[in-house]
Amino acid sequence: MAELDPIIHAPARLRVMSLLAAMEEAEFASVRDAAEVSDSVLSKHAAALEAAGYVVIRKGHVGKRPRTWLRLSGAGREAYAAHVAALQAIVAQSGLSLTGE
Amino acid sequence: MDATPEDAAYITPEAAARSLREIRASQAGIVRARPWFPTWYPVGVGVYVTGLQFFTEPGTSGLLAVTGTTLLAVALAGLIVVLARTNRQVPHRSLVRPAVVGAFVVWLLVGVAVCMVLAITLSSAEVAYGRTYAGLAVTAFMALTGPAVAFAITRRMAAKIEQG
Repeated sequence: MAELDPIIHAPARLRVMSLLAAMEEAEFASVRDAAEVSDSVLSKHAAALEAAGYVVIRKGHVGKRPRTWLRLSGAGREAYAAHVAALQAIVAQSGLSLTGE
Repeated sequence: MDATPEDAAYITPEAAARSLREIRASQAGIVRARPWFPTWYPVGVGVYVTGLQFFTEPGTSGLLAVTGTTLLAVALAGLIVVLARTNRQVPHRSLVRPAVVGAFVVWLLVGVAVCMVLAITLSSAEVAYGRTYAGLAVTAFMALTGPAVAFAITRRMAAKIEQG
């Protein structure tokens, strides 16, 4: 059975990972807004996830404005899938449903 | 003391279920927020097609036809490069299911059909630059319907995520 990954277990990190899992690549500001975290919190989590090899950070420009894009690496995508599978297994074993509160 | 990411990963079934629901909601939100493709791209392709019709109209000089079609080809290549470089914040390919591609293809085919019917009709009526007018019409069709189609596609992807 898949196990929970301590690197992405924290709610904010899991939110960031899940947002990136849905996209090919996402701009820093989009992830920050969707995850409802501050710039500094996202920077901190993104750096930790990059250090773990789960996230790739790319810096560039749109016109003259500097921009940062984030995407999941192959290892990050596998880790995220395994973490979600572990969550699903916990829910399935308990007999809970995901359809309502 | 607050839990840290390095703490032993443990979660109650209720919290796991809540996490999964939140994951689906946040993924659906970010996917739904943007259109699947930018409208300027199919409009640009429509302009390319229109230009091609214009420069290949009978009676156009060879030099103008070659120069015009070459410039159009360069412009189309530029359009593709810009799309590839600037349109990276798109839903992950795993979300691009056959139904999504099917909806997009149907829309494209409707555009092509409109263009062909108009081109044949106007050409049959011997309207000068009939094919060019047909190209303009399909460009307008792309511009008017493109945003709705592009958002309908991402809405469908988001709904699929929410269903699990």
